[in-house]
Amino acid sequence: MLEAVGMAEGSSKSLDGIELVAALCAAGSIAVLGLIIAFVVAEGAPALASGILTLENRWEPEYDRYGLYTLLASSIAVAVGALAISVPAGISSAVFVVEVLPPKLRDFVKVPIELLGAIPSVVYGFVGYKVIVPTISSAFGIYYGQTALAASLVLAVMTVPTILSLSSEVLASVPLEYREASLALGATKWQTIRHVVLPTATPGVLASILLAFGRAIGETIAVVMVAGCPQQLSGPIWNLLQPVYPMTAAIVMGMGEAEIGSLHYHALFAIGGILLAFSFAVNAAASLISRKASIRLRL
Amino acid sequence: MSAEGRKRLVAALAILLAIAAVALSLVIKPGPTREILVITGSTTVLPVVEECARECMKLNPNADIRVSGGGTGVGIANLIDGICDIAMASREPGPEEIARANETGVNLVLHRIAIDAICVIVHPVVEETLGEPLELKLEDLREIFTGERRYWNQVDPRLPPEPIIVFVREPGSGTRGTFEELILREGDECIGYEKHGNPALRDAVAATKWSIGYVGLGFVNEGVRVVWIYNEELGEYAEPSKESARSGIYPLTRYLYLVTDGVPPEGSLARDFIEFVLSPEGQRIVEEVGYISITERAED
Repeated sequence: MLEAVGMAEGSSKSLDGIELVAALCAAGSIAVLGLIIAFVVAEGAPALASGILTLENRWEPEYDRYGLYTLLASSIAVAVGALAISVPAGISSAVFVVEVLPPKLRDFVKVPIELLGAIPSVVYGFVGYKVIVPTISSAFGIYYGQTALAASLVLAVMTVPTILSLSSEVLASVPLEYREASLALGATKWQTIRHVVLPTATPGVLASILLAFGRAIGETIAVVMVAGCPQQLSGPIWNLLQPVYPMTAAIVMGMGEAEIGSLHYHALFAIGGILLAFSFAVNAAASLISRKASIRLRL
Repeated sequence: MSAEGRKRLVAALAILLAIAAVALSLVIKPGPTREILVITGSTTVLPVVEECARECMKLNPNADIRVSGGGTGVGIANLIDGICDIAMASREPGPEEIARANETGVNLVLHRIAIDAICVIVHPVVEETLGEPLELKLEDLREIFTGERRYWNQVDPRLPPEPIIVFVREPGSGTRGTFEELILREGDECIGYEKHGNPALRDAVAATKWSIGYVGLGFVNEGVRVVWIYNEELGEYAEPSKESARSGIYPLTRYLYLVTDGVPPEGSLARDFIEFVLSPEGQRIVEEVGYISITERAED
């Protein structure tokens, strides 16, 4: 490797110490990623191979019933519910911060919202458990307030910072000439935002939404604390007032006591594999879209 | 600085660091080596073992006992893999665990250290409506926890037709395994909302009107009400308590175990520790934590 890198940079120069350390660190990180994927796939494969995973609406490892519908539908319901709140909120605050606020005041709004993203997720879970869940049960007259709605609300607050900070970067990188040209043609400020700035920034904003979706699907502890965890969904997927059992929750609930090598153990790794696939797909899509965005922005 | 010179500098720094690390480890390490005992497993047994470990280390300053939770499954797996010396278990090892132990030549030896009673608990509103503790037979429990009876008026005509909200423990929980073994018939499945750990389940019942669940006796607090269980042999309802559990009147009981690989040899720290847990002092700790001592003598 030493030689190869040295040759790439010109045959006279060999790799020096600091570069070697950096290369080792990078190689180490890639190796860790590779090992994680290999481990999850190897441990999850027996579950897929033995065909214990079904699509029925019943997740009950205690009786070796592994219906993925319950978990997948829960994860999707919760993530979509969260984005339904955080996407409008995140994008409109990004527009407000970038387009409306004078630059000097930007940080007064942006920094506190971005700090929301720095709060440990267990704190969100705790607040959700003590505040949102009782509020939901009294507001909707249901005894058990741990529902998809509670999880969605918690995740909505957690994903707003992701959308805001990425979207505002994209909005800010829309060239000033675009706005000036639009205003010069007689468009109002709102028309400029609506017809010039937002369409230009769309790919980048979409990428931020995808990353927020990835965060919502993968979030664990805050969700476990408010989701309810039933062994089957009692209503259709769009009913946000039912308790749900997202994939991450199933792993947390099951891992501590699953016998190593049992069906349950392999099933949980298979779920982990599905989560990994979700986050790879989301990240790949986001980077594809934002690559497209930078080309458009440079036009 | 030339590339060659930088390379030397980095090499020299690396060597210096290595020397410093070795020197530091010599300085920090205490003189006499302490005997280490690693214990992992059931969070149900954890509070007893933690307290016993603390007392044991006071008596024997050369003992270094490291206790952590993780669950019965983790404890037994660690014991089989040689990661721990003693596993804490709130159930007997399952067939797959025994098979894996046999494969690796590990001989699982179970030491009973305490009795735990499983309490069925309800939200206080149930008892307030009845004006007396709720009394259930094992068959009532079976029908409630399998979802055959869904409304409280099907349990007792004096109760309103409110839905029964059922909380159960997470899959693999020792408490859940024991509870279901005690109340279910072949082919039955418990259905409810899963909660991770005794405190979480108790708090869920305390916070949710018209709910029912089960926890270890030591976890009952004033936020919930206990259910009296019918003893079929005696023909009477028994209140869950230490006395009724030890005397066998209360039906929902189980043993708590420490598990070792073979019988620990005389004089080993593992042997000393297990003997300490079974001593009057250890059994006093068992009672303090809220379980029931295995030796009747410990009861004053």
